Amino acid sequence: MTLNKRYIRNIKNNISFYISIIVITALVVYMYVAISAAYTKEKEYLDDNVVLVNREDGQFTLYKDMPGDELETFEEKWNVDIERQYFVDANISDKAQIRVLSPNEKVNKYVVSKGEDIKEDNEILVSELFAKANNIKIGDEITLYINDIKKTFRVSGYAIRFDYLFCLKNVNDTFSISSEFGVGIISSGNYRDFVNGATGSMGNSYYSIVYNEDNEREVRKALFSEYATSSYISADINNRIQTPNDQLEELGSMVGLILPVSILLVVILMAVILGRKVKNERKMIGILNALGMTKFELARHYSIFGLIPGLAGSLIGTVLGNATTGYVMDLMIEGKLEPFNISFNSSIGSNLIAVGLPTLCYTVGVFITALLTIKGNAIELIKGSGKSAVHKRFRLSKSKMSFRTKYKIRAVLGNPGRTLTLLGGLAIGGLVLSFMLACVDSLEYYVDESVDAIGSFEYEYYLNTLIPEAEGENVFYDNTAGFLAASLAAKDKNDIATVMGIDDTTYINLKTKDGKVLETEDGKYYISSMAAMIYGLDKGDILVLYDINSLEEYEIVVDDIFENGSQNLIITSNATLVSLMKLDDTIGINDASFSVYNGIMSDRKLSLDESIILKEIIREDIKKQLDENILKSMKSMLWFVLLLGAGVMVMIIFLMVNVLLSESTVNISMLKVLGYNDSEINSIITHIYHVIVAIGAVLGLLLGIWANDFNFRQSTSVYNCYVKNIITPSSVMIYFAIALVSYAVSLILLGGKVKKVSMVESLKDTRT
Amino acid sequence: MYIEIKDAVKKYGEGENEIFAMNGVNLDIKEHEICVILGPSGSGKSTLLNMLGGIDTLTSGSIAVNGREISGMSKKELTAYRRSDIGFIFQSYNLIQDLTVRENIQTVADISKEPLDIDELLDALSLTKYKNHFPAELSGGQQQRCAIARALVKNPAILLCDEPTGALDSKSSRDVLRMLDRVNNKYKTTVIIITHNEGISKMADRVIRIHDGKIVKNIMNEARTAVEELEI
Repeated sequence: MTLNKRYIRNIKNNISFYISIIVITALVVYMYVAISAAYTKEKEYLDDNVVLVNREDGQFTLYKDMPGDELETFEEKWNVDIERQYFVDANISDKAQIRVLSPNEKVNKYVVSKGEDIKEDNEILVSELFAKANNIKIGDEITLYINDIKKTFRVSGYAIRFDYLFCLKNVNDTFSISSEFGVGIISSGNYRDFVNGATGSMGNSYYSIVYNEDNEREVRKALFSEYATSSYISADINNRIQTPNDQLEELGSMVGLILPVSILLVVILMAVILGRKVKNERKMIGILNALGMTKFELARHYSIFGLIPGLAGSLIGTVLGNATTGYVMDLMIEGKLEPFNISFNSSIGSNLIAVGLPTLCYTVGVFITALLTIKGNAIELIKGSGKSAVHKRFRLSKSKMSFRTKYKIRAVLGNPGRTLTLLGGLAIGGLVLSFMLACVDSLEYYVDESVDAIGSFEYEYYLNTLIPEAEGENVFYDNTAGFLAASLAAKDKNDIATVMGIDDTTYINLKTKDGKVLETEDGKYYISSMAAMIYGLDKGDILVLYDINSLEEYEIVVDDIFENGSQNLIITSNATLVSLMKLDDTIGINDASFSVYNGIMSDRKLSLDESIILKEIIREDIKKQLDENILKSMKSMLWFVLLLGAGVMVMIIFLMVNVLLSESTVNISMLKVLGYNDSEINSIITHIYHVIVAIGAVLGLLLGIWANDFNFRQSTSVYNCYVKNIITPSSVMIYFAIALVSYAVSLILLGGKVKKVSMVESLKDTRT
Repeated sequence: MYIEIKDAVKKYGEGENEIFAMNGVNLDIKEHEICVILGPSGSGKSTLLNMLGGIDTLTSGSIAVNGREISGMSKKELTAYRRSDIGFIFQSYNLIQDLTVRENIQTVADISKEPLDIDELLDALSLTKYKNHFPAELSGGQQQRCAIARALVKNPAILLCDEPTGALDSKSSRDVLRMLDRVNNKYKTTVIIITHNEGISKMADRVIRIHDGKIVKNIMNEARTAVEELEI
């Protein structure tokens, strides 16, 4: 059809407009394809392997040993798989430590992700993140030191242990530093020889369990009664296992809801913009209609103007998305989790959606706009008349304002579709920008403040033994504060809270939100703001906790909430916790004022017997860990997202001012004829959106701040911390500067278009 | 001579596609004259008007207005020329739809050195009661009167009218022509009208016939016929 020649010619004449539509479409489609392919594959791989390697449902330690034959009997009786996991931490340098694991046969089997499995006695498999952080390559030799005994191993490959996917030294740690901690697997014989030789034992151990039927509660009770469970960590509360699940879940919600909604919003916005461009062809539509083309033929003809950029943009986005999924995955997850080294290929279905949705929306959007436009009388369309209804609402004819101001007000308010599209686009771009800025600010604030929130101690020790006050002479020195800590899980929640019984609050911050300083009192429980967030509690609410070993339940009433967004902490007096845990019966305390401790806070390093230290927390290290784990990965994404947000802003403003120019060519040429110069015309015609851009930018900022708050509130469990929603004045200034520059760039880019408007051609078009 | 056009050529396209919209036009127009340019469609009338108004440029030749060469002017100089010396009236009015009658006139008054009084002008053109109306709320004749007021408010030396009655009925056409005649008499404005309408030529001092980009006839009427007597 000869008329179809218009497509290429028209697009060539409006090349910057169509390129902008194609780029913005490609951008959103790219994000959808890359992230959804990454999510689908990772989830699939994780789900498959959890079954394949028989990943644990829980791990426990016992006071009473469970010999091999009893273990088999217990397994048979309860239909469970139990495997004793031996491990020892070996140094490879002053800073880096490998947890050497014996290879399991039943539970938590490993997967070789790169290289080859161990065949020889001197071979080792290591976790990839640790290897990369320490520049260890397959084939390299590494020397492990245990108590001054050393052994050199050749790295045969990289391995994944799905119970160490988020490689934490302790299951209740929050952050991992891949350069300092990783896991290594050597053969059973090798393990026995090396570890026994170095330690005189098989090292540390715990049991891993897999339930083959729904009997967890009964099995745990049996374990407690028969073998006296000393600790039980279910997979749900094991950060090594749960953090990857949470991160994938978060990515899943992004793939399932946030991304499709954002794509849909952008696509609708683009469809509206394309529709307006076609609406601008009223005269041509009228002429073609008068020449005898039916409404359907016309709508079909114009719909191709939507189909071309939709198809081009979504194809580019889909191809790029498929090509770079691995990189996107790396950016989003794999810097923190052990890489799976799988090939990413997205499903045909999601590719079809990615290509089909924008193409369909643009085509249908333009088709409908064309149909609605044709509804008008052909003569009116040719004449370009029939706009008076709008003016009745915004006459301002008796106002003393200058005609320039009135023109701007009428152009803005009299074209609500155009104005709302701009506002919506700015809000979306602004949301992306401000969300990311607020996210980084909040995390920076969290890193700065969280250490103070945790307390003012320099060292904190968790002990593996209970020390009554009277026996504390060799443990407690000046400027130390003892505490009793118990890990209790909340009923119907996965998160474990540390309940601390402490009377000397020198080293802990117990300030409420309004600045009131709390003192511990018998019978009173104060919870941290993070705990309040996780459990959804307020003052006066009841929280039911249970012992993770005995599953015994305790009910406490929240007396107040203190500011601490970093720890899931419940504070009470020492005597109250002693009584709650029934320790007075266990260790025979008769005097209620007599305290019992299993932890110490101090202003200096204490020379404690290493055998009683369960965990040592050094204040200085916390900040380093937070910096390393939170800010580093977030900042690597910052520029990417900032560019994305700024890009969306520039393109939306560019497109809308472009549409505005197309709709105003007659006015521009007339003003030229009347003797207005280009800068005067720009100030009247194209500079009408100053206020709307400011409103859109403010709206985007508020939405971004709200989204950031929502995200951190929802992700408290995922991040294991409650990050307060903060945006600094400097970020607000950066945000507005980017918005302003985006607007200025768009105006500069389009300023040249006013110059190009031909007086002769435009005025010819108005002839009837 | 007030307007002197010498060997004016306007060529579009190259080679086989070459089209001469004006092909060696030579023309003199005196100050305060009413000049009517007649010719069929595509004869080059509008091109000539665009050249005179400084909204298009010649391929070769020259145009001088009151001794000033406009064919060699820069874009900036042409803008200044249009701003101070030229008033335009178009067949399709080309009013700015988002502005009222008064505001449309104000657009020009705002950039003029010595604009005429808008209220007087509105009164003279019988537009006072429509001053707060938008163009879409006016008849064709009223819109064209508004366009005349907009062109006149700067008190231009030359008024260029491109088919000013082309879209109007005979009554409205006569009203508009009467206005143009009055403007010429009152403000001594040089008025150049291009039209298909032979009847209009009788109100002019000078009548020019143009065909295929060339002037084929340039005559002076012995006397101008009153608008009321025109057969249009």
